[in-house]
Parts: sequence; C-alpha cells; structure tokens
Amino acid sequence: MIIRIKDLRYTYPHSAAGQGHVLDGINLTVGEGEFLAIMGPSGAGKTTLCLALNGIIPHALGGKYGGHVFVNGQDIRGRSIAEMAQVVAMVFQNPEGQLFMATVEQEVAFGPENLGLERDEIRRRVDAALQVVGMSAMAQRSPQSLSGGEMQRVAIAAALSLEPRILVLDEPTANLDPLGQQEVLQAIDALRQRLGTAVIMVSQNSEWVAEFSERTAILTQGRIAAVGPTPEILADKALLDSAQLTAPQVTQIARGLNQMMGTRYAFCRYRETLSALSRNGGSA
Amino acid sequence: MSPSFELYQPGDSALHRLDPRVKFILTLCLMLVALTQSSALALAVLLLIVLGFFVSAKIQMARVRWLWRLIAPTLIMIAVLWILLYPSVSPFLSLWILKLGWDNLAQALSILLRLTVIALGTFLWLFTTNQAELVLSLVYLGLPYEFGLMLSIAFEQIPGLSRTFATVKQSYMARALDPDKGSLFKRIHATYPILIATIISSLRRADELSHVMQARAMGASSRRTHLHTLTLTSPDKWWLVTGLILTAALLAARWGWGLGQGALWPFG
Amino acid sequence: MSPTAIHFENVSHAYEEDTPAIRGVSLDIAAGALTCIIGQNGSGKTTLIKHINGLLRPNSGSVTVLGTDTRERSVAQMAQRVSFCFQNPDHQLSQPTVREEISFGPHNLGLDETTIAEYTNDVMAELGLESWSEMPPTMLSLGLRKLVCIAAAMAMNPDIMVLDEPTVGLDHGTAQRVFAVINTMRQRGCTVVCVTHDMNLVAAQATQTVVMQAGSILIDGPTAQVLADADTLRQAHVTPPQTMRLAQTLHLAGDMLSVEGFCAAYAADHAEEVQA
Repeated sequence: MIIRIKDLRYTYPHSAAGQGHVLDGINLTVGEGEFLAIMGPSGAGKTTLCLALNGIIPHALGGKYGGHVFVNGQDIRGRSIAEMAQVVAMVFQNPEGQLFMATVEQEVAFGPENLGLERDEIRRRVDAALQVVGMSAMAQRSPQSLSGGEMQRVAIAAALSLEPRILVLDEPTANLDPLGQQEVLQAIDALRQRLGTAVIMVSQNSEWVAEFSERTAILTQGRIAAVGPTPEILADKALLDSAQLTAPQVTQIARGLNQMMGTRYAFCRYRETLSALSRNGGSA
Repeated sequence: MSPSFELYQPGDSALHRLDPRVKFILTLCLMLVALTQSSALALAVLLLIVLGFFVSAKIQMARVRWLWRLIAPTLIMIAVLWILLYPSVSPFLSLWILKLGWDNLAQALSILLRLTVIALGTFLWLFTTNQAELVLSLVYLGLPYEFGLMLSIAFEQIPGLSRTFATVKQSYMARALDPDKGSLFKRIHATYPILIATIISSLRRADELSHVMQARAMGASSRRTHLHTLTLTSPDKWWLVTGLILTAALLAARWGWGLGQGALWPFG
Repeated sequence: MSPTAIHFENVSHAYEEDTPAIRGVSLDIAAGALTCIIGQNGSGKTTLIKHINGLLRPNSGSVTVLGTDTRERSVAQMAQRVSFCFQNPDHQLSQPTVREEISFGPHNLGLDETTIAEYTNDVMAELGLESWSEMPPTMLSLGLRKLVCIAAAMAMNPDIMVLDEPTVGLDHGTAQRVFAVINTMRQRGCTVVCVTHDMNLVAAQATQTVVMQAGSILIDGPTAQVLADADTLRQAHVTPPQTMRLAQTLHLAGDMLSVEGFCAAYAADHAEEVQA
C-alpha cells in the first residue's frame, strides 16, 4: 500500500461553528501503481482530500485535523510539504492558474530546481517528463500561448519531473474542451504504462472514470460512501443517485436492455459494449 | 478569445541578447540619470534615446500604445496638478487658481518627461527580458530566489489584471451597468463592483498559485539549482562599462558644471 | 416554424487586424428554442455570443436581435431584453450577499423594489439558493457561485438568455438543476443560447445545435440531425454521445438522443432473438 488513510477528520480554520467536518472519518488505501477515481457531488470534500494527500492540509492551511495519512509508510504530519512533493505530485483543475514560468521547459524544471539537483539531472528529468506527455516539441513556447489541453499536459509534466510515486489530479479535464480532455487522459494513460505511477483522479465524468480507472471511491459529505472495482460501483444505481452522480450511458443501456429483453448485460466501457451488442448478430 | 499577451516580447535584438544583470544595472543607471536631470530638453533627448531602443528591439506598436494608455492618465494628472499647485511667478496666463508661466510649464513638462523615461525604461527592461532571466539576474545580484520570483510574477500580473478587469467590466455591462456614462461620481460608483470582482478573483488566483508552488517542492532544498545559468560575454562587459562611464560622466556634469540643473536649462 | 429571435447576417469580427475570430457567420436562432453552440476552444463560440447583447459589434455584416440591429443600442439597453452569464463566476461576483448579487442587474434596469424582491425570491427558490441568500457569494463553492451567476442573469427577466458554459465544473445533480431552470425559462417564452462542451446537455435538451470551427459554422440544424453527422463532428473534434456512436456502428435507426430511444430501437431490431 502506497497510501493508507486512517480515520481522517478535518475542518478548515475560520469555518462557522457547527458546520461540521469537511472530511469526516475517511478510511482509504491506494495500492502501488493503481488508478483510483474519486467521484462525488460538489462540496463532498474531494478537493480537500487531495490537499490532505500531499500535506498542504494541515501544514499550509492549518485547521482542525484528526486521524492519519500514511504515504509510503510515513505519517505526513511528520514531513514537510516540500518533502511530500517528491512522493505525491498534484495537478489542479484550472490550467492557467498553475503555470507561472516564461517557457514550458522552465515550468517543468521548476520542481527539480527546487530539489537542488545538478543541471544534467534536471535536463534529463525535464526531457523525460515532456516526452511522456507529448510536449517535447513545445519546450520553448510560453505556457500562456498554449491550448487548455496542452497547458494541462505541461502541468502534468511539471508534476512528473519531481519523479513522484503518486500523481493526484483534481478534476484535470473539467475546464477543457473535448480534444483537450482526450489529450490529457491519453497523457495520464501513457505515464501509467511507462512509469507505473499510481494515479488518484477526481472526476465528475463517469465515462472517463469507466474507461481508465480500476477502482472508484464515492465521497459524500466527507465520508467514503463506497469504494470498489469501478464496474461494480458504476452499476449501483441507488448509490450513484444518492451521490448525485450518473452512470455512463452504456451502463444505462445495459440496464434498459436487461429490463426490455431479459438479458444480463453489465457494461461500463464503450468497447466492451460495442462488441457485446454487435456479437448478437441483428439485422446489420 | 480576447487578445492577450505577457510583458516579455520574444526577439533577437541586441537588447534581448544582453545579459539580464547588465540590463538591470543599465536600467537603474537610466533611472538615476532621469532622476538627477531637471532640464526638459535633456530629458526629451533621453526619451528619444529610450524610444530608439524600443525601435531597435522591435517592440510592437500595439504594445507601446497599451503601455501609454496604462501610464498616461497618471502622468498627465501629475503634470496638471504640478501646474496648479506651483503657480508661476511670472504668469502669461492667469485664470482663477491657474497661473501659467514658462517656469511652471517647463517644470511640469520636465516631470512628465522624467516619469515617462523611467516608466518606458522599466518596461523596456521587462519587454526584453524573459521572466526566468529576470529572476536569475536578481538572484545573481544577491536577492533571495523567492523574492525574485514573486517580483517577476507580480510584473506578469500587470497585463493579467488589465485582462481580468476588461472581462469583469463586460460581465457587468451585460447586467445593465454602464461604467462609461453619467457624472464622474456615477462612473466611480459604477466601477466599484468591477474593481471588487477583479481583486477577489486575483486573490483567489494567488491562493491557488501558492498551493501549486508548494506542491512542486518550493523550498525543498536550501541550495536551489538552475537549469540555465548566466555568463557575461564580452559585448555584455562592453555595454556595462560604457553605460557606467556614461552615467558617471552625466552625474559629474550635473554636479560639476550644472548640466540640466533647472527645468528651463540651457535657456533659463 | 417559430419566428426568429436572433439573426446573424454574414458577420465577421476580428480582435486584431487580419486574424478574424469569426468570419462570414450567418445564423438564425428560433424564438423560444434552446440553441447549443459547440466546438473547440478558440473556434469563435464566445465571440459569436458576445454579439447577441452588443458586447461586440460586427466588423462587417449585421446582427438583429428581436427585430433591432445591435449597432443601434448600447449594451445597457440590450441588457433590458438579453441577459448574459459569463463562464467564470469569479468575473461576476462583487456584492456582499447572494440576494444583493442577484438583484444587482434588476436594480440597474431601474425596476421598482417590490418587483425586484419578487424576481429575486423567485429565482432563488427555483435554483435552491434560499439558504445561502445572506452569505457573501464569493465564499461559496464553485458550483454554488456558478448557480448565483445564472440566477443573476435570470432575475433580469430576459427575453433572451445567453449562457457561456453553464454546466462546467458542476456535479450531475447541480447540472440537472440548471437544465430544469433552462426549461422553466423556455416555458415562459425565453429564448436560450448556450455555449457548451456538455454533450449530455446538448443531446437531452437542445432544439438546435450549431457546430463551430475556426471562426465559421460547420453545421447547424436540429440536434438529432447534427449529432448524427459523425464526419463533420469528427472534423470539429466533438465526440457524440455514446448512444449515437453505438447506433451508428450498429446501423440502428430511430431517436438516439436518449438511452430509452436507443434501447427501444435495439430491442425492436433484435425482437426475433428474444422470442427465440
């Protein structure tokens, strides 16, 4: 287990009395190299949970904190944010808001420079990270001149150059157009194939979650309402309804066909649906 | 997409290639000369030289126009206030509190020119120096990295802020607010919500940015390294020495022979 | 055929010379319809809709809104009939409470206090914002801030409502609430125009869909027809909903905009197998 969260409770400083915990007793584990999706309605504490994984909570934000987050076996409360950054890297939602250097290359070099690495090593890491997300050709461009999808890929590269074992992405595609979303998800997939980095991705898009993640956790009101293999979670209509979520259309199709035709379909990914439905012959 | 730009204008002019430390020092020299000169004529010559550098660095006209719109209101207000607050001793025009004469007119002009030279000089430095070089130059000159980075981000915020302000203004105009109509008081009142929204959204962005930097291991090592380093070439040294000698000469002339002592010099 | 609310006649607009953001756009938007505009970022969608309330004026061509040429009216005058909600809520929130934020536009229109209070209470009820009414809007979550902005646009009681990415960053439940108020507005006769990447919104709600690319309209028509044009959509990098994609590959015909439609068509197509 690369991450073990034990009974994590958290309240932001200055929050009104009686407003309750934002995180209210979270228990969750993440395996080495695993892809875990986190879904839930807004206000459920998804972003807060992300910030608790790399120590911004509680180190930078303060607040009332209880329970433990163990990363790599060590309690993050004993380690600084900068130390944590080398194990757990973060990518945030807003592409423009997280790029601040003059060129793509400098953006990606920022992390390794902070670590005080030698120039050759920085160069190696920058080149490798840009290659994984397919942005090598744009190393000298200004990040502000890029499209949203490209910016978000640069942000991922800037996180990867710290050579983390876990990458946390907080709704990385929410602000992107369809092409940008595809680019980013392909980049995430590529880094998993090639680096074996564990990925924790917050997303509202059940279709993407279905395509990419192995396990899904549903977060509601600061608690883990359910966690399990993605197909099982997405097939549980009552669970999704209670969390104001919706299943991928193919999952809904399986349910509809089962009712109308008495079949026993359970779909979650597009490809498996297509092959199952076309296998049945039909007039085509 | 609305037109957007950063301060830095990529290019390959002599100014672009100049070592950022030298550029920084020369900018300081320019400010020093502008501050010690009072002569409107001498400052006008200085302004022409600065404009010459703008041309040589191939800064887009649109950029210069943007800059002028940014600084002109403040500059002109200062010049007008100067004329009103320092009435001429021998006015050729007296109208209520306005006493206009060659003396206070020349002084207002010299202030206007001095501030223009300083502003244009500073922006010339920012337009021709990319942010990483800018930070590096400050670090090499002994400032802490965090300080250099914050300063350069603050500079980059100038166009960002004016962009945000423009969008916010549009969104309020769409709600039937008309900040460009009515009495001065009405306009100021109408601008108030636009300013608030601009400031709040900038603060939100700053907050986000601080999380981003921490998550990228800012401050992890006491010895921060750099992918790119700076080395002084011989043209760099030549520029630096020439600049310093010129500045020293001008300062010496100013105090020794009274070069550009008063606003009307050499005529007054 | 319902009358035209918005008419674009060969409209071009350039922010900088020689680089038009939209060029030669001609478009009719029917009164009382929900029209969705889709396409890549930078394809000119936002530039197009900013012409509807006169924030932008065409460099050439003309835009007629509810019978008036937009060049003859100021933005503030247009705002009496056209309300507009920007994509980023942080660009629109400045007032100390949600209630004041929502009544800000109606106040600018010079409506009387009772009417303003009535409109404000109505939209807060419709969007479920009552419990937040005395909170500062800037302190709310992104989803709620977004709802406040939509509420502020609704409270101006417009004949046309233009929404730029109304469901971005919203969870499914909140997005459903936005869908619901769009329908309420349409029942009152309001014409709604949305720029969106949300194919669920398009498939489930839009009467008319416009696909833009590189400043021009690629295709424009009834939603079912536009979403079935896979080749054109691919060109605009737009992915149709899963039902449409499946139907196309499986050669199914019928109403494919909803899961129910797809299931019915598939079941009909495979009726013999079920009996067998």
